Amino acid sequence: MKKWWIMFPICILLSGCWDERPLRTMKLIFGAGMDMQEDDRYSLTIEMPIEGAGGGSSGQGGQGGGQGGQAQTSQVMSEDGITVRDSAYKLDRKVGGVLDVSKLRVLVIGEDGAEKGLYSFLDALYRNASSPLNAKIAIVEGKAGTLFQSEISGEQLHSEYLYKLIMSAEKESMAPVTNLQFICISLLDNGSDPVLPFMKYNEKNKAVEISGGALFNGTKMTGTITPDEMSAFLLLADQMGKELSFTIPADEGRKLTILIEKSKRKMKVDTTNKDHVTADISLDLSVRVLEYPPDHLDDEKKLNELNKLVSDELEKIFTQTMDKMKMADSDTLGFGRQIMAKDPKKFEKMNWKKSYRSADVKIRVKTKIISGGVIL
Amino acid sequence: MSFWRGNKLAAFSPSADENAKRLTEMLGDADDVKQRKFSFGKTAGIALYLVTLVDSLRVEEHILRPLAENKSKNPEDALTAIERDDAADYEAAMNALLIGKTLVFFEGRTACLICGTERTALRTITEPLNEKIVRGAHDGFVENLNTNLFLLRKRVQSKELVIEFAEKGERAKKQIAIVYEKEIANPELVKEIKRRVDSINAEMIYSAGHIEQMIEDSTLSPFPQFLSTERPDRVAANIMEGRIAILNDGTPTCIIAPVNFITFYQSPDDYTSRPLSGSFYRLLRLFAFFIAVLLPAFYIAVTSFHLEVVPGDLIVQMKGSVADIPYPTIVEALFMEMTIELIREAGIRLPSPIGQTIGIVGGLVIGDAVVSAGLVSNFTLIVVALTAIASYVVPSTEMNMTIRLLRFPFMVSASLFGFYGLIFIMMVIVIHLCKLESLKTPYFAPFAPLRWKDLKDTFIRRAIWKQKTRPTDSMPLDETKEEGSREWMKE
Amino acid sequence: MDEGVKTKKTISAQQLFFLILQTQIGVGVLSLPYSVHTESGKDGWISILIAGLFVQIGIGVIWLLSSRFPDKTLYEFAPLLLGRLLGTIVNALYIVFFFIVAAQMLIVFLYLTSNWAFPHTPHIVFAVIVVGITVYLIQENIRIIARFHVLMSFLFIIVLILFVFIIKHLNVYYLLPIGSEGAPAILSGTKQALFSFAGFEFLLWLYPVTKASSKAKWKAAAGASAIAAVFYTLLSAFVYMFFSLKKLNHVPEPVLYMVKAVELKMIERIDLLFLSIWAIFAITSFMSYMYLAASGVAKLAKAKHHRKAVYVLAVLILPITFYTANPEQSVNIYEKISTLSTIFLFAVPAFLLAVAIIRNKREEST
Repeated sequence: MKKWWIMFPICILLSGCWDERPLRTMKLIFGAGMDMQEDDRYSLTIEMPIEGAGGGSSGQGGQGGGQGGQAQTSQVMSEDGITVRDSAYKLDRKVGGVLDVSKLRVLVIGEDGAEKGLYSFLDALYRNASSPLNAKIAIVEGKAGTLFQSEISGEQLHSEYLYKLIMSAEKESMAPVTNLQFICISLLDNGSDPVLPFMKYNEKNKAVEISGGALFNGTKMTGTITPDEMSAFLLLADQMGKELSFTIPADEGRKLTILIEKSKRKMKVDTTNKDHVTADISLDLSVRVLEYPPDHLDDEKKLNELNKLVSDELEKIFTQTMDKMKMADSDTLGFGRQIMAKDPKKFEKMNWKKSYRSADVKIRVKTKIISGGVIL
Repeated sequence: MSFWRGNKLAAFSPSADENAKRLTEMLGDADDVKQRKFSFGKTAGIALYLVTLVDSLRVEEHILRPLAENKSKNPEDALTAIERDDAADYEAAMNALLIGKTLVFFEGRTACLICGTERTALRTITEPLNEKIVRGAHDGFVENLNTNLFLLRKRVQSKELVIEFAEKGERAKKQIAIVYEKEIANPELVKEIKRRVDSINAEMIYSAGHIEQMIEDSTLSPFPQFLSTERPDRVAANIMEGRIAILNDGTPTCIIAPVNFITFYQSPDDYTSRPLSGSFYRLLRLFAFFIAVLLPAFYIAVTSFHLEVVPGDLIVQMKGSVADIPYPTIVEALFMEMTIELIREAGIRLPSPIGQTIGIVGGLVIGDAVVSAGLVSNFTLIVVALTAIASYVVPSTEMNMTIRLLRFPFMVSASLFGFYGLIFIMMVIVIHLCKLESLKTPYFAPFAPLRWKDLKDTFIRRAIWKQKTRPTDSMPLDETKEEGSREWMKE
Repeated sequence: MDEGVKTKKTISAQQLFFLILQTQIGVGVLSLPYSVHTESGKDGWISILIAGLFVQIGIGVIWLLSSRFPDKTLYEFAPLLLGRLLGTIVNALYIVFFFIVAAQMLIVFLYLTSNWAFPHTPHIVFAVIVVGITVYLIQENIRIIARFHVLMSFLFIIVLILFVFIIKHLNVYYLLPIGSEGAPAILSGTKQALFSFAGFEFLLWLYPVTKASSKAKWKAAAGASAIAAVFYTLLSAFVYMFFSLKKLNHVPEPVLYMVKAVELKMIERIDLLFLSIWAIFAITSFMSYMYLAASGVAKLAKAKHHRKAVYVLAVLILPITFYTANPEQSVNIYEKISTLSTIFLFAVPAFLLAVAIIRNKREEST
């Protein structure tokens, strides 16, 4: 009689496990592409890795290298629906196994869709407790669906390739460090706007290249910037990665490639002016010369000249970038947020998005060449 | 006591014959009872002994021959047996007879002389197989109580070392020795342990494990509340921390109380090696504890509930290895765990050369075959093997068993509720540890209740001279262990 | 060893500290920043800090009250102060309050658990398991409970380490300008925050069983609350610096959502780990309240040991939990308990202290 409590664990054991999601029955989505079609239907393309022969056949495989089940090929499927979730359910019906989004690594969104508003694509992901908010996100020229279907030489798993591509771009300051989580915060922030990596498919090399950045106004994509401008933006936003390089035309048609080692940014937003906002950005850069074929760098005078040249050229790029961002109404540097922090009442009164274009942004660059490599 | 015919406390009869006859009768006319008649001058007499227990040579040399040679005046003086005593009554005589002594009766005297003639079949003192260490002493207890006490006394040459004997066993008596350091051990605890030992009312004490079960606080707990060891150095170190050791005749195992959880993780090796390496291996062992208990459960939780936590680079391999397995992970893991337990059990029972073969066959052949047959995934195999290795790291056989048992509830619970299952079982076990007491002292001591000062010899081992106080969980009378060993530094 | 005598003075000041800390930090951790933000916007962290200061006053009152009766818990001295009938009524009200708080904690625990990790597992399964574990612990005396709570407090270290990874993603500008929401909004946020500090009233029951000087007891209780206040303030400041205000409106459990962004090499999706640790914090608070209620019931019933009371309450709490286990109801209950808590945490002790001073009741420690 004293052992009646034994019944309880037995009951639990018999009733099974309600929330079990066994890995072996899961179909893991590694990459996803989303597009908006002309009729406002959402089309969803997913890529799932097909695991190489796992334990079972590895014994008979003969080659030792095949063991462990590296991802061999991938399975790409596409479907459209009224909402993203709707198309996901349609896909689920076609797949043997349960679709699982929790290991998503890359989400690519087509240019057309992004122009119509990014948030509606992502909402379903934000609502799901198990969705991976640290997945990378990028905008692609043309359709995202076709990117997953097009051939990429030397790579079988598109999502893995894209993930690595974005990761290395982040490191080399060719793309901002971002993911689904951070993008969501700035999408919903009326004081700043996000910038996303922008990529396109290169027919000739059968590869994908990062072709700069996509600018947003609120949740809608409003423009693009070139890779150089992206680097400039990252410097302006104080988000430089591990390294950052520029190639600058020097005098007499010579070219100069520099690597920015260290960057110090100071930003001041002045709200005292009644009708327009002025901002001062000053950049202090330590530069290493990577390539400068014509000359030696041991001459003080020469060096000063070069310094001036570099800062002038950089300033040009920065201003050009700033203008582009203004034209796109994209407050990527978060001036609005600074105004809000300083003078919230003024921010409420003014129509920031309108006055952003007329904001007076001054950019000052100071460079210092610290090294010319192992030769003079 | 029905076999005990006659009055056992009766006085001896003047007739040697009758005395001998009566004792023989009391032994149920056993065939190994031997009576040897002798005459010393005019006095005749009988020497009575159990052939199976005595050293015949000693009986011959020290009792019968001196008597026959008849050189001194007194028969008592003639005997050259070293150990001599007078028996008070039949019971004393009988007890002496049963441990291998020889009784000598002289005609016309109502007395019984006991001479020590026991045969000692001693195993040599070797290092215990199950508690090997690298540095430090390599002696170990044997089955003989006196030898063991000799080893202890030799090691702790202190006038404060107290050895108290108790004879237990209703039918067959066995000696039990309680050993402690009287200036350190808490008298309350000594009293308590004596009270518990006194209450043992078994027919016979078979082994130390027997005593342990009769005097430990909680028998159903998976955790051992007595430290069992066959190492004199370990016992000595524990006695010097104020703990009490119980040894018994017939087993080489000594049990020590009060102990706490961390005691089972302290190996003599930690103290003989350098503080840094000692600390490292202590940490490693504790880490192994968590691996042994949690790793399979964690793996099950991840593969069947929380696949999100696996990093993206690893998940493909993991999925690939699990994909073609027909069973849920819990079944796989239990299957492999059972296999390993079987191999272990078989390995112990078989003679050692075959045992090794079984280990190889089991480990390599079954492991490989089971994976290529698609029954168990590679990952499960790795996890289970790692767990098995980790569970053998603990320097105590009892704790080893505990750990191996503990992981099963964790695994089952993890297969039902994922991480929550782990948390639930962990809470239950920690609560249990908080409740558990070893000889009325908290078992999970320096952690619960938390005593910062005593943490110096838990996760890490600080330098010996930094450990100036004894751990307080055994409530020692004198807390100071040492003072100023490194005074020379100041000069 | 002194277990035999009717247990007095069994826990240390250190254990007192951790008992109160563990009780204070409970289910609220996940949603506190959100619920405060609904009132006081991005200045919610100031609200929480102010609430922490209020709690210090509350602790002072309780300490003054308890130090007048150094050998008695509130259940024992309330009848002395107010007379038998009124004292018993106060005690009964406290018991009901503790019981409701415990039930509410369980509801929130079940709700968040199913929302974040186990959507299909029936509530009853987790409820029964949690109550079972609770019973297993709290049928023991306070000393064992203290040991357990102290051990579990070490999980804080993991939580703090997790926060270190978030620091680099914070944006200070979200907090600026400080105090712009205005004093009324901040104070109304304070009212919201007060309830998450519930747990310091445990001192009324722990004071007589703690073996330390009166001052040390005050230090332990005040210290625990201060740590809790700092922890909550930091937590919410982190949340407000991580999410913009607009985004915060969408996430009722911002802490978990925030932790999702943390990415480590070895293990991804830290929120699941965090959820598990939170479960432990939630359960320890639940245990404390169940213990308080049970020991009160035992006192009312003049039972020698509170073990039977624990069983009774454990059986009672399950149906109550199910009756109310839907989100709308639980929000409703939360509001009500919030108001109730100010009465039981501040008003009643203050009133009792006033009575004690007026009637000049005081006892010496034996």
